[in-house]
Amino acid sequence: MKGRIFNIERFATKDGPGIRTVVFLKGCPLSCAWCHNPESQSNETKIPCNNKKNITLKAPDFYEKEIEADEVLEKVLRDKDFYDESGGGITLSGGEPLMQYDFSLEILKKAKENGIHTAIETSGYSCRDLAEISEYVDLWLYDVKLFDDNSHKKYIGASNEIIQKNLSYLNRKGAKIILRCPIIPDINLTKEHFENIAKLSERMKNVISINVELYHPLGIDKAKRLGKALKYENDKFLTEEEVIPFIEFMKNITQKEIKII
Amino acid sequence: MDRISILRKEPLTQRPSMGEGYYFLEEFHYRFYKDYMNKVNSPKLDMEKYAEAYFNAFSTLTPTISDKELIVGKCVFTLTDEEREEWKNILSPFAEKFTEGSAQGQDSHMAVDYDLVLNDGFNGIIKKIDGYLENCDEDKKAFYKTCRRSLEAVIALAENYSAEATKLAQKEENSERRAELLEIARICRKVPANPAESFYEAVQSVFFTTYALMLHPYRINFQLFQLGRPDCYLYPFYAKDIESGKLTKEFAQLILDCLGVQINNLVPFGQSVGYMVGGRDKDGNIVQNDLTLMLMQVVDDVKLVYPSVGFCYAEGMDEKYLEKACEILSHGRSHPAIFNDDVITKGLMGYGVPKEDAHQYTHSTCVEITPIAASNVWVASPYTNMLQLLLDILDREYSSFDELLKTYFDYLDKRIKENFEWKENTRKLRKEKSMFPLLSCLVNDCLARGTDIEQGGARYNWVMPSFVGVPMLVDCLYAIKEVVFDKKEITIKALKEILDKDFEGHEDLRLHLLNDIDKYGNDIDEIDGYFEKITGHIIEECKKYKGEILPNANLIPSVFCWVKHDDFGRVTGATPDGRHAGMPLSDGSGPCQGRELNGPTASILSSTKWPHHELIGGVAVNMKFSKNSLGKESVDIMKSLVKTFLKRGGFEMQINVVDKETLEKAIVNPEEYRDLVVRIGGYSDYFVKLSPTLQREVISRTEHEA
Repeated sequence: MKGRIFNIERFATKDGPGIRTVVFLKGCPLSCAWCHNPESQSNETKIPCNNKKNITLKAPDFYEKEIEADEVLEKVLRDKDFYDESGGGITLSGGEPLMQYDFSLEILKKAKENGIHTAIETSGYSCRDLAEISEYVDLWLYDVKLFDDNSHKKYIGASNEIIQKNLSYLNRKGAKIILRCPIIPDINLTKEHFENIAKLSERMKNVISINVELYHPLGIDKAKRLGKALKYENDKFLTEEEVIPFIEFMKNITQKEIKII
Repeated sequence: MDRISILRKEPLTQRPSMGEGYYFLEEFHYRFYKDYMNKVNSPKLDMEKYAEAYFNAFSTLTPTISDKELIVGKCVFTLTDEEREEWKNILSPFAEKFTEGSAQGQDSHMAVDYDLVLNDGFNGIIKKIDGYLENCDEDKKAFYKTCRRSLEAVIALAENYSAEATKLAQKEENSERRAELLEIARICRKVPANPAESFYEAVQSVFFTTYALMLHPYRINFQLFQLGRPDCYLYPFYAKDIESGKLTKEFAQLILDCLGVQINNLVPFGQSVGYMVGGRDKDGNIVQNDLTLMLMQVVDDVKLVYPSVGFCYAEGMDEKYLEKACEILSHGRSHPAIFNDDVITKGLMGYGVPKEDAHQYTHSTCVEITPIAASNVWVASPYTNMLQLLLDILDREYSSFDELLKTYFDYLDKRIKENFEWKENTRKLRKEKSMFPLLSCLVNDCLARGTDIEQGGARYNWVMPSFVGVPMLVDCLYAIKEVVFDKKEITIKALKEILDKDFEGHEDLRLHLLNDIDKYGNDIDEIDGYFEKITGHIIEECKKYKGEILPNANLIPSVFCWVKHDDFGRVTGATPDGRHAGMPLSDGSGPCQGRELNGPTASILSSTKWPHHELIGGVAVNMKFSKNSLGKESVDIMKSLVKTFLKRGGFEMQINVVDKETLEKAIVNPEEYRDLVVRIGGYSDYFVKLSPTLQREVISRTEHEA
């Protein structure tokens, strides 16, 4: 079947183990204030945007296209030698890959048929039953953004309820989970937030690791190229030094591995 | 400050660069020619007088030993202004006449028989020579006698270092340093004259030998002798000393680091001298020992341009060796370069090298492979500008792309033939006019045959032409195929006219060629296929030639460039891939700089779709990463990339982890760095596409991470 993607990135090294190819699926039901892939939010077809100044450059810009799952696989499998050597594979990202549940499912099934490791990077915001898809996912990279539901609605554009429910379900089912925690100054750079993450990871037996993702302003640049504006704009990078005290604090609560990425 | 930090300052601050005249070479040549001219007074060869002048030159050089040095081998420049004038006006013209016609062509670029040096000592070799002298024909006697005297010259030089160390020890107030100097004095009295008996003696003996080889009357220019496989020939000494408790691992590392620094004192900038580690020994056993790791560690300890270390990966090797190589590279060092033992051995055997020699080879500066202890191979002889050849044939229309390709190959074949004949003529001249007795003592089978290396004493006398710019040639051919033949957008004549004007007034066409036409290195099978077509043709064509001047003189191709991509680029007009006139050609055999858009995995796949093993003259695939793109697991990721490259039959890979300076360059010249990916958090983008403020931000972060 066909689905919509906006990029296929080879040699991704931070979206799961080993050397991976990330397939970015288009469309997202959420609207995070700091979104760093603003080109993915809409699932409409848009004319790709070129920055006039950089018109001489052919580096792949945002593109979006309808593509057959088989064609995605064919592209992904080109790097099979590298996955075999490094323990890598495919990661579905987005956007929100679960928004194209059937398309994602087909890609993941075929990836497993070809013996490669599969990961999915998700906000967890999906009304579909995750039972079937979870059979074909080796690793869930599961977002944890905010705990307070009002804040969640305000900054993410939806309630946290479904997300939490799905996470519990996956944990019960024995899925392997890495919590992906974007840390945004002014929004969730608080001791309380880190404490909640640590407690959550302790509660969930199948959470193997916590990834702390530091805020960076690169989404602003992309949004500008798209002619969009983000709700949250801060041009400063968050530094490791700023979160290290919180991470030290988390280590009192949880034994799980914590990595800054 | 530790010893190495102090010692490494000397080459960083005092080393003259190439072209300024290299002081100890001038000193040596002055002494040799002054003596020789006095004795012979005509620029013709008198072997006996040559041997005497050689001995006198070596034995009158003034040694110098810096504080903290443990491996010695530098000398003082003592020539007065008058003597320098004398060199310039009288001796140098005489030297030119003496060496006339023989000074062309490639040489050195090899590793000698260090096993022989360490196990027999120069006195042992002298004994062998005496044996040959007793039984040889009359016409070989002069050769053997000159060889003998050459060895004595180096022994005399070492003895002078011993005397200097003794003298310094007498004046030295620090008792620790005094003890070190006395040990240096003892060692230099002993080696290279006698067999080495300890690890320290062995390292000093090897360095002396290499140093002495750099001084050659027939060569006014610098010679590039390599140190071969020290983790093979030094290991027995290391193991014995560690076993007996005489040597600690720390001291052994220090000795190797001192050796590393000393190479930098000896060799001018812009060259390449080093050694190879890993791989297999003569019997085919994998070489993986403490020294393999420690000799790589030298790169990280001395942090200088030399030694150029090649790490040879052999299938079945313990992972930690490749890991060590990757770890050092992840620190931003440009070495070790990683070689594929199985591919290279297969290639060598294909050219008729027996297994024991096919395991023991070295990269003879960059990537040129020559068997150790038995070679007189002329590497990179000559370099051919593949793009100029293409521009030359764009002087007319062709009825089809195939016709154009055939014309190109015919033209290339003609060039290969001309170059082959040129090198044969040079060899003929050198055979008549030149000799190198000291080297002949150390390269098999010169002594056994009673034949100087210049006359064909060495076992392997290959010539290795290198073809520069193949990746860019592929891009150009494919662009011509697309715009001229498939899409008929332009004629050859019109294209050539625009190229001749460097695209002036046709920027649109240039951007079209640059951006809309796919390029080699992006895992696109059709384009990548042209690489094999070209290298396959070159390989087959070179097989047709065999030199007759010297024995076993195959013509063996290579596709690397040293700095020639830059030199050639400067004089090559605009090319059909959208490159401006004067810009560099592609370096090595990977994708052209800035033309790789699908990342390192695609680039590795493209670079290994064609067989490498017959290109024994050298294949180099360069990869660059920004420091942060590899992440915290950088060593593992790098190792996986390298191993996949090797498993797919890659010959050699050089990895550069890009630093701040490169990012700065990318801002000034974005077209050349379009492939540079920076990563922050889970997000990545092309560096050149970021806004100026973000670029600055990334640079400041890179600096932070470095």
